[in-house]
Amino acid sequence: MGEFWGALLPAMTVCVATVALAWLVSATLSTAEGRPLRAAAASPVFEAARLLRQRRRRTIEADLLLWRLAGWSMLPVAVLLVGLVPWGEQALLPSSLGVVWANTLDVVVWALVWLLGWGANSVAGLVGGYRFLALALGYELPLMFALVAPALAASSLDLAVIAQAQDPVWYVVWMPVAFVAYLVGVLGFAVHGPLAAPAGREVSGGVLAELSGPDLLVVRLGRHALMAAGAAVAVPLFLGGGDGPWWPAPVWVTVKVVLLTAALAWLAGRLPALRVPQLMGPLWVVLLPLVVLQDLVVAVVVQGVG
Amino acid sequence: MGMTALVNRLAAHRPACYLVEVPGGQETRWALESALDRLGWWQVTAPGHADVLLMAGALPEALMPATEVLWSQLPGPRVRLGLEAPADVADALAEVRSLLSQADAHWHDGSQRSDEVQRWLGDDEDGHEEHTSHEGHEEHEGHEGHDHGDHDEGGHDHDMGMSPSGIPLAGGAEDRDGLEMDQLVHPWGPLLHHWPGGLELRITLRGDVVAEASSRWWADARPPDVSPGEAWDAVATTLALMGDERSARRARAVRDGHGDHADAEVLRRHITRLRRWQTLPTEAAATLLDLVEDPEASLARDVDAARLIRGQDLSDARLLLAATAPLLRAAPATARAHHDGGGSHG
Repeated sequence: MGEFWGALLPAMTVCVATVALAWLVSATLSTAEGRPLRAAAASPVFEAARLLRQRRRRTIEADLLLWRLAGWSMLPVAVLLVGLVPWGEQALLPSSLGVVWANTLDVVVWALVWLLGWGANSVAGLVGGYRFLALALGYELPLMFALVAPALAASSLDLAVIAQAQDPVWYVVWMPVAFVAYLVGVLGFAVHGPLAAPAGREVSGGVLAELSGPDLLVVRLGRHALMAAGAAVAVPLFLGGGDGPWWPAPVWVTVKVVLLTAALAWLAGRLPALRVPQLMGPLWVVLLPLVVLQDLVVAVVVQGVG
Repeated sequence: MGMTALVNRLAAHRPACYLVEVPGGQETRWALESALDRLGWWQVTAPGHADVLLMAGALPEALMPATEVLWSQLPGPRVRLGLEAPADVADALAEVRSLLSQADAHWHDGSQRSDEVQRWLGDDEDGHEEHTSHEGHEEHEGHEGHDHGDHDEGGHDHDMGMSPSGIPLAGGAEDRDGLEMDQLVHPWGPLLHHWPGGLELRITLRGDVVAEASSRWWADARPPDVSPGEAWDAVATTLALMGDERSARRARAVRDGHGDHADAEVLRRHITRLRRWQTLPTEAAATLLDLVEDPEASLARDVDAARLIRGQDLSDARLLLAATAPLLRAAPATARAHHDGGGSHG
């Protein structure tokens, strides 16, 4: 029983942190789209109130169970991802297989986004869902190979061990390609920025088209949270975790997570959504071989040093 | 009670608007868009996300049934405003917040209707029956091509054997590569956001590719004329559909005469860049550049909406239509109720 209460506070902290980061993503995105800072920062509050008050809506012959389940699962997946991040010495969910879990969670998002499109039983939703599958094929392989690089260098799948292995040189310095491929993957599973086509405005919001009220609110929150969670996991993977002068580790992790999240959201808000047929080429023909090459370099370096 | 009142107030603070242009409502739409930009309110791309339905222009009687279907798709609390002229805009928008805050009225409205969106009413051979009005991308796609038959085991009414909720299942047809694909007849317009007022398209989809299309106009033909404003409006609409809100706002400013020469130049370079990156379909980018550089010359083209989008995928078709909108309207062939039957495809 004592253990349960002991875990409750960190769990609550992670939940609150995830939502706060989602708010940061939303505000940064709006600012990047050219809205005044104050309006951008306040709009999540107004939107939340607006959508809480809005009625839920059903489409004809909708697959209600899977549709709602998919929408309401995005935020929990993001919370679990943030839970994997070692804040100080320990993560909320410490695991010797942290990297594998992170990968597993990002693959779960495949099902969620696809079902979101499927469940609504609408053309816009299905087109969005299928686009996502095509995109996911494109970003997932580079993402997986990107995860291999830090694990290989640290000879561990534990995020805490990987973070500590980056002394004195952060992995981002000599694994820039893996870092970029990873962040592209984050934009992909958050359905944001250049990879936002499954939720594109020209198909009336695609997988989001038929959502309303609280269902829409949690999906938006979930998407923003997924982007932030992806950025948070990048900190132990590539940015040295809690490494830094003067301040204790948890402060450094927080600072890095916030800065990376804001930077990624800013970029996502500035870049237009790319068309799916145009994305496969760059992702598989350019990025994938480069990431594999990156892994090779890492392997050779590790062999040479070891 | 305090909590409810607070949520009510916050919720009405920044309404989400679904803006639709009806035939002849172009200038009203411009005034509305620029007013929304000033207020910082959001234009949403699906009626299910919206609180406010804004109809720009005088609504013709014939489009009333379509308007009702669209209206039913707003979840509520909902407010509907018809604006006949640009002069109405300021007064109408001024009362939106107070209309949205009338909790009792919205409660009543909500209790009067189901949370299931209104059904699409039947479909005749020709596909152009008066009451088959519908909004565009919405709920009536039970006849989608992906084994939705799975869902009809329950106690739904079966109008015609395999018709869950009265919606017939998809029929098959041979696709470009010789494989059989399910196909779906999907209505587009006449009431849709970022859409030329009065255009209705009936498209046959295989996957997300428009295999066939036929068009109909609910508006009278207008004399061919592309003003610089219309050219920049096409730019703004296309960019808004791409989710490039920052540049879209800039294009709207140029359209309304608030932007300067430098803004126009920035946008021109932006479109060129989008074309180079293939972010915008090449043809759409070329049309936009022609329009802003030499509106008169682009008038020489006779563009038919249905022919334009045949063979394109759904999103390219949408962007092409947005980019070509001024020419569609101007084309002499777009007389009222013009039919362009399916036709063959490659």
